[in-house]
Amino acid sequence: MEIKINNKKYKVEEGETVLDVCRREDIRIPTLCSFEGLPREAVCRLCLVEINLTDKLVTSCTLKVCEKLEVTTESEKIEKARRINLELLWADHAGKCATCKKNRMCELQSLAEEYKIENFHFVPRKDEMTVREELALVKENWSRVVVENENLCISRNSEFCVECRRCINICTEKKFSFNHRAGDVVVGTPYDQKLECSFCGECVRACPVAALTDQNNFGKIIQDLDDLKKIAVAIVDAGMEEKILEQLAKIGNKDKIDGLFAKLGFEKVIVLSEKDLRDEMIENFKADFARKEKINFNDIAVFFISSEIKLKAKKDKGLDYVLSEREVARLARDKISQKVKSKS
Amino acid sequence: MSTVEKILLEFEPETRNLLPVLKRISAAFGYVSQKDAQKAAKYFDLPLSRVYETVSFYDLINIKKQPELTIEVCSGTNCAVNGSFEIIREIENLFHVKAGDENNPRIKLEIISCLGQCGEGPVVVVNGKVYTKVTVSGVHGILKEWV
Amino acid sequence: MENKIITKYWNKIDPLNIQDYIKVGGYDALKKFIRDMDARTALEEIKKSGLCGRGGAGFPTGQKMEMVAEKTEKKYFICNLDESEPGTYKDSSIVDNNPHMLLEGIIVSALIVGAGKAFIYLNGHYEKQKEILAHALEQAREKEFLGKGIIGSCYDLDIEIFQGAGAYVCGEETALINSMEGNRGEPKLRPPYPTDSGLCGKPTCVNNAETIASVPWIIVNGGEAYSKIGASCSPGTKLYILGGAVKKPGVVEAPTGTTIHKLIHEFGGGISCGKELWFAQIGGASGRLITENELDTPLTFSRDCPVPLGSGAVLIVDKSVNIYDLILSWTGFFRRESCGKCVPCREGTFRLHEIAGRLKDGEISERDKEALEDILWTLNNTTFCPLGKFAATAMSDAVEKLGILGD
Repeated sequence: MEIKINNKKYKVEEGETVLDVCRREDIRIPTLCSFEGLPREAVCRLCLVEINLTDKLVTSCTLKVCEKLEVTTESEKIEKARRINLELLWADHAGKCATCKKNRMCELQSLAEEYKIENFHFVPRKDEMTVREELALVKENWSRVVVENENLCISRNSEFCVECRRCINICTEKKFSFNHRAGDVVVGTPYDQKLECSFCGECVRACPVAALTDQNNFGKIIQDLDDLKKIAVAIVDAGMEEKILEQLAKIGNKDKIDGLFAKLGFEKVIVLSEKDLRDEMIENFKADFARKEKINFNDIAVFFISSEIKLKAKKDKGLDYVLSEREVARLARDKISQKVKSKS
Repeated sequence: MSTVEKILLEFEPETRNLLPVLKRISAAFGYVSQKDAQKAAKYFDLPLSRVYETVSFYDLINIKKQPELTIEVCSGTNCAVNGSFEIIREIENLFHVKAGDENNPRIKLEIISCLGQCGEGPVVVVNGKVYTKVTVSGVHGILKEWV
Repeated sequence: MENKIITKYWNKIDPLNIQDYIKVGGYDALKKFIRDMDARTALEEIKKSGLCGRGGAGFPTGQKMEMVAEKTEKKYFICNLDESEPGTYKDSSIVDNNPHMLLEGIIVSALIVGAGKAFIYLNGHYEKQKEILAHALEQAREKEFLGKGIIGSCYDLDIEIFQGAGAYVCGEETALINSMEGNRGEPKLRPPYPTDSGLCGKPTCVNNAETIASVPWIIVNGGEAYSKIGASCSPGTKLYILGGAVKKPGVVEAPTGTTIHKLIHEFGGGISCGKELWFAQIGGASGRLITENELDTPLTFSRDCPVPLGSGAVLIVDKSVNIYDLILSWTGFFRRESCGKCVPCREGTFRLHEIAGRLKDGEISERDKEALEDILWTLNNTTFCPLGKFAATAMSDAVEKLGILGD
């Protein structure tokens, strides 16, 4: 079958959606709620396109291709729809990008940049509000925010949430729910209970913003990496290289994996799969290493670089830190780009 | 006194009975507690998250214990043109509460959607009892019955 | 010409007594269907009648029934009695005054589409109506109008009442089905349409109670007779719910295509004493506003009609009404009732209500006015389900026709 997209003909398979075709053919369509392998929810309304079969805007993520279909992916109307809906989301978002864990790795932020969303015209400026209104606004906004740092693996902050439902759909243990109604909607756990799960980390991987992030003590990590007395050892889990490079691409970092760890302040890099990680291994390695390099045992910090963020909670096998590919990218973002800046 | 178990056993564990069950539990105990939701989830073989999504969605199912006094004022179009917002302001001033405030443990004033009794508006519901053709002056007398 | 179909026996028969309804010809349609017709011929009559959905969308009923009737698998029929549109209580009035007419309509309709099981999705607040319906169902079963082998035929049908739990959006048929399946009452992605995959994945025909209540008359008197009543684009009678500043508020039945002027003066007894008409709102909180010079517009379900009939609620707003309170009523309603699923509706209704609050406090800024325009546009054009459009309608008209933002 053939369909037309932006006046150009494309061969398509029956059952494909317009978004699938556009992704394959490198035609840009912004999305926020869709995610690889998950059901198409069509709730972010950013992938709207115009077609020849109706006057209405339709979501390309759910629109199946059919004979004689003609699609327009860029028009004034589409631009307007995307801009307003992004701006509505942006207005409800915490908007503290500079200090955000996901700064420059956030899908909402990059969409906001792409569509030049800068003014908060849905939210009154501070000086335009009476004290009463301001209090009401703060109260209303905060009464719905859920922050949880109770576990050692996943940090939750609904202030950043864009209600895309990716975490709900990706969680095989069905821990998350779409709660309440209308403007009160919170994506969270039932009865706001603490998150208790196997901490597979899939939800963190899927979250487009900083609502679900890797739990860590970032200040202490940076301190240990920068401490000249301390030796930082990175043990890199199998298959991590590709994942890390993918994350680095988001922040525009073009480092090779070998050079990267040195730049981040690691003195030694070892590649070792998680399944080969034995109980005594790290302790023995530390002792050997300390003897060989004539340093204090406690001055060796071992970082396990792995997507298995559930290991963060275990604190066993002598590992000092467990860092995911996202956290490595975050380190690169904060440490390497800073150096570049100070040079220029 | 019915227990959650008793209510559950009245229904087959099919998902189409979930909403009626939750409504019944909420009506019997004032709200659906986490414990009760968990029991329902187990009975229907559903994750708790799925049950809570439903619990938190509907007006007639409460997720927490309700205050002693709950006043609901209809703000549907017909009630609104007949002065329901003036009644809301009157009650706000009378009890020093704000409509929609969920944090007052003693009293809750809620603006609700149409109950379909528009011919008799404005409609005020106090602890489940429906009052019709309520006026700003008349609301004092109604609330005296309850405090 | 017959102008009363649904309300014909209101206040004349005892709604709790099936015998009263039978005496005035009740259940004749069912008898006729069973003795002289089959699903196909009855469906032809419905199609010929031009009957269209009375819930507001105005979709041709015959066409919808046909889509389900032609399926061979197990299927369901649902009577939509969620009726949550503000200012609308016509369906509950049908139950209050003549529940058997509704039941007869459900039975005939369900048999037409070939469903063995029908549900009445009842508004969560309608406790009294639940009792009436349960009582009426009991009586109908006794008379063998329901159950196995309806009045000696080979037709079987069971009707069950399913009560909602308070959510406006459940009036939308896919949300209604979600709610019956124990889910959040969120609209589902369409296609698949309920007529293909509805309740439990089975083909399902969902019709508004008022639509269904018109079916017995059509079966008895023929589709052609019905098609001659009212406006030709959407024939029949309609229940109008008059409210606000009219002398005789309440539910009245009049042909489609009746003008608002006629509704106010002939059916509503005119504007209340000492009041002066400002505008009328047609179809509840999601309805359009009609100013004085448009009162002669006939109300129909046609897409070309400038004033969609919607639920049939006609609210007469007089000049003493505080418009800002009414705006808060609209925006507050959608701020509460949006399901929260899609971005424009969840965030848009929330911001719209904020702006309405500032409008009332007289603190609306220039930026608010721009924001308002954007929000109304996105609600109108980009939401997941029609609720977004509904949320924008009245406010758009208030800006355009009432000039609430000033110059």
